[in-house]
Amino acid sequence: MPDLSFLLLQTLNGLASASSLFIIAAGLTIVFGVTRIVNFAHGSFYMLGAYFAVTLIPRLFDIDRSFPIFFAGVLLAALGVGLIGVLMELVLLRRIYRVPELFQLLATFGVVLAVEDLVLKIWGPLDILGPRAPGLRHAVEILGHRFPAYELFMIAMGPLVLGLLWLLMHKTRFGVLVRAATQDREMVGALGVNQALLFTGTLFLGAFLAGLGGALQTPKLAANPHMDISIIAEAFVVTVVGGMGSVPGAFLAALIIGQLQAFGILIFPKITLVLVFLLMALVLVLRPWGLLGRPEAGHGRVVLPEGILGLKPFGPAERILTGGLALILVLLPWVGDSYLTKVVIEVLCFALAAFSLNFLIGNGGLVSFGHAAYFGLGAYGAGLLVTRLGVPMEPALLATPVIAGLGAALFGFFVVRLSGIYLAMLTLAFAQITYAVAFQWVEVTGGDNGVVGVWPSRWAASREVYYYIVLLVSAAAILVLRRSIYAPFGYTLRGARDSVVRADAIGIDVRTHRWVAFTVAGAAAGLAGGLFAFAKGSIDPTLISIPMSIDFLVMILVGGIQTVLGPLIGAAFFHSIKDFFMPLTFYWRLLLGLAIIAIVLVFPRGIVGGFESVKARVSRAGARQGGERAGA
Amino acid sequence: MSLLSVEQLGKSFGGVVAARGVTFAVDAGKLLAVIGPNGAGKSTIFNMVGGQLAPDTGRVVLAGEDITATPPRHRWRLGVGRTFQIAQTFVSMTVAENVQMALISLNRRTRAWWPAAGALYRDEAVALLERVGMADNADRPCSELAYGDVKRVELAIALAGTPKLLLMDEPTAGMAPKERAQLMELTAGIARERTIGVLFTEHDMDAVFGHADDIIVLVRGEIIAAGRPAEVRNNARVRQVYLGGTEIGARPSSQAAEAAQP
Amino acid sequence: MFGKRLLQRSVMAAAVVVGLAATSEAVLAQGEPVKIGELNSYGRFAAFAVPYRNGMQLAQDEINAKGGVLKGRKMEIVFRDDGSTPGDAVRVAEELLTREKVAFLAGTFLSNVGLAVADFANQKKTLFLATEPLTDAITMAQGNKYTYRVRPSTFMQTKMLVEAVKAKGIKKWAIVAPNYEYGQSAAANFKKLIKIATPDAEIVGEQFPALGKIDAGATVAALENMKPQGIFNVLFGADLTVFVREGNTRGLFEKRTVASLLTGEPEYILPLGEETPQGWIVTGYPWEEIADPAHKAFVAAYRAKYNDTPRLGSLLGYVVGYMMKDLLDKAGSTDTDKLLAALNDLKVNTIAGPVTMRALDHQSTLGAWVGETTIKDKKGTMKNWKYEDGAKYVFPEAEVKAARKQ
Repeated sequence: MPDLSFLLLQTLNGLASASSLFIIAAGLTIVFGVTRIVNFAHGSFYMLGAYFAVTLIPRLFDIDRSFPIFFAGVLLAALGVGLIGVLMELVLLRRIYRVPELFQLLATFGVVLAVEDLVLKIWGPLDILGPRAPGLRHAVEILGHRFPAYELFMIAMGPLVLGLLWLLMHKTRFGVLVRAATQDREMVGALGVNQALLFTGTLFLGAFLAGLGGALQTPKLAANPHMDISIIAEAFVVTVVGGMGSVPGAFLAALIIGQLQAFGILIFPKITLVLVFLLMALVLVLRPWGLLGRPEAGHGRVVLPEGILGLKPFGPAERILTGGLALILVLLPWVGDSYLTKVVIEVLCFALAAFSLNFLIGNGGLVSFGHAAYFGLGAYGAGLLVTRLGVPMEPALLATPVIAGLGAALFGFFVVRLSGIYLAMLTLAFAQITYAVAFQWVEVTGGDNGVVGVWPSRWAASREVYYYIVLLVSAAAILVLRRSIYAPFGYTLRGARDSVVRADAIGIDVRTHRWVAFTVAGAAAGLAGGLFAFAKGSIDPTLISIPMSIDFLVMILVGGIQTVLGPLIGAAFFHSIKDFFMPLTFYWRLLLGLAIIAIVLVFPRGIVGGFESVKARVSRAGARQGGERAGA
Repeated sequence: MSLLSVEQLGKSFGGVVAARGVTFAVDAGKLLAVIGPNGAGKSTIFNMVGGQLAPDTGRVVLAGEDITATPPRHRWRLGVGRTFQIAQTFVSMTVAENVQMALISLNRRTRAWWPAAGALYRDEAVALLERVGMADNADRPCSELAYGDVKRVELAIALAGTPKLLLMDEPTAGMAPKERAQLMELTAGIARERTIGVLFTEHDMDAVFGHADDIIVLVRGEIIAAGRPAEVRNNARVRQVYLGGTEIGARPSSQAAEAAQP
Repeated sequence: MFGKRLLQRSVMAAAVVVGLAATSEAVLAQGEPVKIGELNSYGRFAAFAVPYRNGMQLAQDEINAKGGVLKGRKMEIVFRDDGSTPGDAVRVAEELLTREKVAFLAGTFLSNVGLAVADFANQKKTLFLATEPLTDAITMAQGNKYTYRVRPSTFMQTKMLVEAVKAKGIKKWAIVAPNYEYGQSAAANFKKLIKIATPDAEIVGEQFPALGKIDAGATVAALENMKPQGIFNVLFGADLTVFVREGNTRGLFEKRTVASLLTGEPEYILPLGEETPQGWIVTGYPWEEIADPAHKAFVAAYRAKYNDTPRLGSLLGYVVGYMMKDLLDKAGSTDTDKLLAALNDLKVNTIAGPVTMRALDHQSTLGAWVGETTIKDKKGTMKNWKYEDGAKYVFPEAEVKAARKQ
């Protein structure tokens, strides 16, 4: 039974971490509120803040080793990061405000990859411990416990930043515009406000807060190249739990999460992995817009949705291309070496997973950030059946869509009740919970080591035979899914994406259709996961992790979500360039990140989308034939 | 028995009363217009009849069946078709496909996995488009249409459900005067031909007084007048509400009818 | 208009591609070198992996300057990033085998990556020298014919620490470890071994913060509240620095014995600087104090070549480089069966001391340095250290036979 003074101490600990979380999340939520960009690079800003601080502050200490100097260093570091935010807005985001929001997300993800390697290149791989804050190095005696003075300072910083933000939001023209844009982005555009300047300012503020959060951490932790990854998920959770765009919401959510973490570890020492995601899932199920968030202002305005727009049968060019591709795929084991065959096996698995994801995103308008959950469920289902229960490959593979489909049905039941970014975040939360189970349930899943020895049956053991199995199964699954996109079921999903109100008004049960779609997509991803597990010979939690989900997203975005076949091209392209860069250099993440940014800039609608628009331009430039259907 | 009867409908948002004690009825084959200044609660009442909003008090009865708590998708199957103030269509589809979707739903085939949706009920869809004068545009993407044409498509979608009751929230908003008259004439014609009851709101007084069989006037959520157009036109309170007592809706309907002929 | 913009964009794209080509490090084959595929987390775990690569490169250069391997052939180690996930690593391994035609595979950092590559090697019937992964599973429950491990395992290093603190007779222990396999299995090993060493020892509590995400204030307070006499720490890297700062300020380590895995390795102790806690009992690598002439020569050569001080990774890379040479020379061939036969009970004289690759469990007897942390010239280092030969700490034969069922 812990004594009272300890409970108080733990409360203070929780408050201190809440402050750090809030400062970072506040920036994220403001940027989202105004620009509607899901800024993955926010974690990179945080990391840069820390690196700037540990570089700058020791130099400033040459002047005077005092607290004001320390604090000036922190502010300078944050300012520097703010300027980097401005740079990102001017150079990258400004060019792509008109492209679908998901592509903006893709661009910020490219920035994450590039910054990660740039930091390694500039500051080296070793952690850099910054100086402690002069005057706050000591501990304060509280009820017989020693408590760091710096933590008390941090406890005060949270409310202070909240107060300053409140002043900024209510007493300045910029703040009023930020609030107005958060509530109704179109309105601000209509009011004749200089939107570009507003966005630049917002990015500065957001990056500044992330940098401040990072710089303030340096007296506690060493600047290290993994900081971005470690903070971004939690920052998103705080933002979503609080309600996207709501600064007070972020504060409230940070307070709750800080206390939950502090006391959670006393009861479940291993809980930190999943605690925040459990909270996020719970909050979203009960309050679909977060604690203090509001539903998107309904304009009823008709905008072209992101995703598949219109379907048309293949023209001669597409037929020849597809036929040629199919021929190459069938002949591949004869024309390529065994490594190429292996790479193509992986591409086919990813293609199926990506296709099933685009079935949801491109066709259904349901953006899932956690599709790896179902890929992973399939892989784990297959792997565990084979290694733990001795089931042969064939029934194990057949079981994968069932297992993943059941998981998707369970999670999907809650997911389809939400929409937009909240829906995406709930899928992420469920994926993280699945990940945590695979990670933590060591006796069954093998924990993070996973399980090895997941190999195909003897008759299918040869690379070539297994290749044909994968080709056959994934092609069949893709064709069935593709067929449904052209069938009433796919049309119904697309209709509900275009206008839920209209779908409802013509008798369509939108939720149930989406639930079925979510389940089917999950099952297809599970099949892909099962095929992948047998190709790799092992399963482990990285198959369910956030990076895997992001990879799937990147694949479909790179390929283009407006077209039915885009995801397949995207999977092939993304996996190939990764495979191409990796042997070239250890800084392959930098190249991958730059390549993604380049794709967003050159083909803002994905590769296939770009191809389509070129084709459309060529055909328009040629003989103009009347009465022909437009659209791709 | 009326096709639709609305009894003592009430709704408030926070402290603001949007509708109170609203009672009216729509008969088959008749057009009932709901008018009133901005913020009078027209759309609120509309959405309660359509099922998009749940009323705080009162009942909505369709052909003797209480549908107050019935979701929109079920009301549609009971014969309620509607158009929206801001047109709601499937913008990624063609005009015909929009109507085909309604027919697919009507025939409960939305879960079909195999047949190509583009070929299902195509002829019926084109026939409906023919009726609203949009057959020539059947294969154009809905996103390319002029706004007035989108409204016609919406009407065709609503008709696809073989409705008994048609709800039209400001059907002519955003249209040129000539288009307005055409659309109202079309609607009135269809309503009489198929004995569909029509409930519509409208700002355009020509449309209201030219086509409505009955009118109710709403101010701050309450009905202040109801009756035949002539009665409403001469109602003193209505005149007062509509700016200083000028005569409203003076244009005779025959003129509008002529304009509707192509 | 549009054409111009498209052109600009294309030029940007082309610039990216050219940039790629420039960064590629083309390796020109000379004669007929013996290729060895080395895959490791050079990007994500660069703090360890880059010094490791440097050490290995140094050994390779020395070996080739002195006549190479297999009677005059050059040894060529092909380095590849393993992507830090099992999925990527297995593909990279395949690429090394089929495209680069390497004689065998070596490397990996993360345990799950190591295990996946081990299983891949078993499928492909190729030798895999797992150099860094510490998990016991790779030589025990999931050990296979083709996989050998160089570094002392989690079990061995934990046992060294338990032996070192045994004399203090501490009864109440708290454990703090990162929440993943390495941390969990170190904690499990510690619990088992401390009971044997001090039968009335008791574990008063455990904390498992997520790797890289420790909430240090709350964790330190929770540990303090357990009122232990001793703390067994498995945290490393970024988690360790936060933990140490928070623990120092709150007085967690005062009047307590701390036994800490890996903390004496330069990779982890250097970032602590002046704040290195004193008197922790750790495993590590006191490179500047090792007087052995061969080791001193290695340090000098390393400093000359890289203008940096060696880390534990550098030592390991260097040792493995020479181990590969001895292996090839003893086998007299790159044939896998001959390599396996040569590697079983291969004896190598390394700069750390004599090392045997045990045929029994495919674990090398490379040891580790155990000592106390201290501060010298504002930098963390070790004192009262001693090299513990791994041979004394390997799993007993009976346990190995029970675990490895081949």
